[in-house]
Amino acid sequence: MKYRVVAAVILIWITAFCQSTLLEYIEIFNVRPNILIIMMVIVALLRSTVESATMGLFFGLTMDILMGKTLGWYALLFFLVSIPISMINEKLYREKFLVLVTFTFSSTVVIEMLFFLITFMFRGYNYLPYLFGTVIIPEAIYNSIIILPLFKPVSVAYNLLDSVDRRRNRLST
Amino acid sequence: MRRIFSNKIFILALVIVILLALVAVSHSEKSGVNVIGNIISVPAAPIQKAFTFVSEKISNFFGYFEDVKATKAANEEHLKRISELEQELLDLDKLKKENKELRDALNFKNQYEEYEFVGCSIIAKDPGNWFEVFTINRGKNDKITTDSPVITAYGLVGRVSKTDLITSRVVSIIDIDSTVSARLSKSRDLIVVRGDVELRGKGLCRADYIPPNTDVMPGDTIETSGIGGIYPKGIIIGKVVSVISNEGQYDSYAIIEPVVDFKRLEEVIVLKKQQ
Repeated sequence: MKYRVVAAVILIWITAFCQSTLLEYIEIFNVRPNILIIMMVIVALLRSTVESATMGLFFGLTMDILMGKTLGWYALLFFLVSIPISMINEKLYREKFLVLVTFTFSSTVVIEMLFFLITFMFRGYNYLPYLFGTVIIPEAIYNSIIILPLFKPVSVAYNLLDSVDRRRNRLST
Repeated sequence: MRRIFSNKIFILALVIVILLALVAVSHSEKSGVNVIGNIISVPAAPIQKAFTFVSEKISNFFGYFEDVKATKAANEEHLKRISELEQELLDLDKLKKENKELRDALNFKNQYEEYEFVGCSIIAKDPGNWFEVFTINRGKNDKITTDSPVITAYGLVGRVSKTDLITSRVVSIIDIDSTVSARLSKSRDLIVVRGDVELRGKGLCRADYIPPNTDVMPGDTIETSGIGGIYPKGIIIGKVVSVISNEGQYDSYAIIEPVVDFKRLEEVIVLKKQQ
């Protein structure tokens, strides 16, 4: 259990670090991908509901902390979006291109759209069509592309953790 | 009781309520709950600093060969300019002395006297696509406080919005949450400079509430007014790019090009109030 928590913390750390530094260099038209959303989708596709929701919550909270504005909105959105994905993940061909792209695209659109609606609640929604076209959709497309090379390494890492777990359980029994 | 806590819907509702409470509590920039940001910012700061250092070195290395040619030409021009500036400096020294004498005679208070200048490096930019916030390498340990003005040698950058132990978050003037009370340098009319959703991407912002009889032209300089208590008076914000009249409305607005290039910003100065 301990090393699982350590592994989760390391995953969140690396993701947070990349999001705040590296990704600045791969911005296209002032839009950068959000690998915290991508990681949340990957974890939700691979793991149980409780683990996915917990990880989703911490990925979201990390995003809130990195942004330096109100804490909690992204945590809430990541948490809520990761639950339905993790509930149906066993019925899906998780490694299929279309599944990865569909879930990343729709998760990004839902999270960023709701975040926009919350942030602009008292400013009016005049900018909705503009931001939908220039921020939300490009980010969703960008995330859908970035998930493809990231899914395999994360899934291999989780398989490794599972096999270590099984070996430990066998030894203890 | 145990049955309630094992109920999934109850746990879900509880987490949602806790997160909404966190939103409510952390909404204020000075809220104590923001200390949880230290979980990420304190250990991340050294890595972010190292990364920024390495990326700067790499870009400097590749830029070196391109720069040699340009530097040679620029050098000749600079030598010419230095002699001109030396003359100007002499005049300026004279004016400075005169200015000081007049200020002393009128008992004016130098507003910058109450500030200490703290040089900072930018170690991380906004992780998302919504805001123009960045992280600097000084925090509560350096006695940086929220709402401290942030500038460069050219002009206004923004203000400190949150402080952690060793880092702080700075909201730039082109961020949608930023509002600065400003003044047109030429006509001395008061205006409000704020971030705009559409202009943000181009590194621009806008000045609102310009009365119809105001003498404002493209190229006019805009500076802070000193009203509001955050920014000291007279810091250059930028130049007017264009003036647009609001259809059917009394006032007009202007598009402002800040003197600071936010895309290439690396070092800033925080004006820390002296204790």
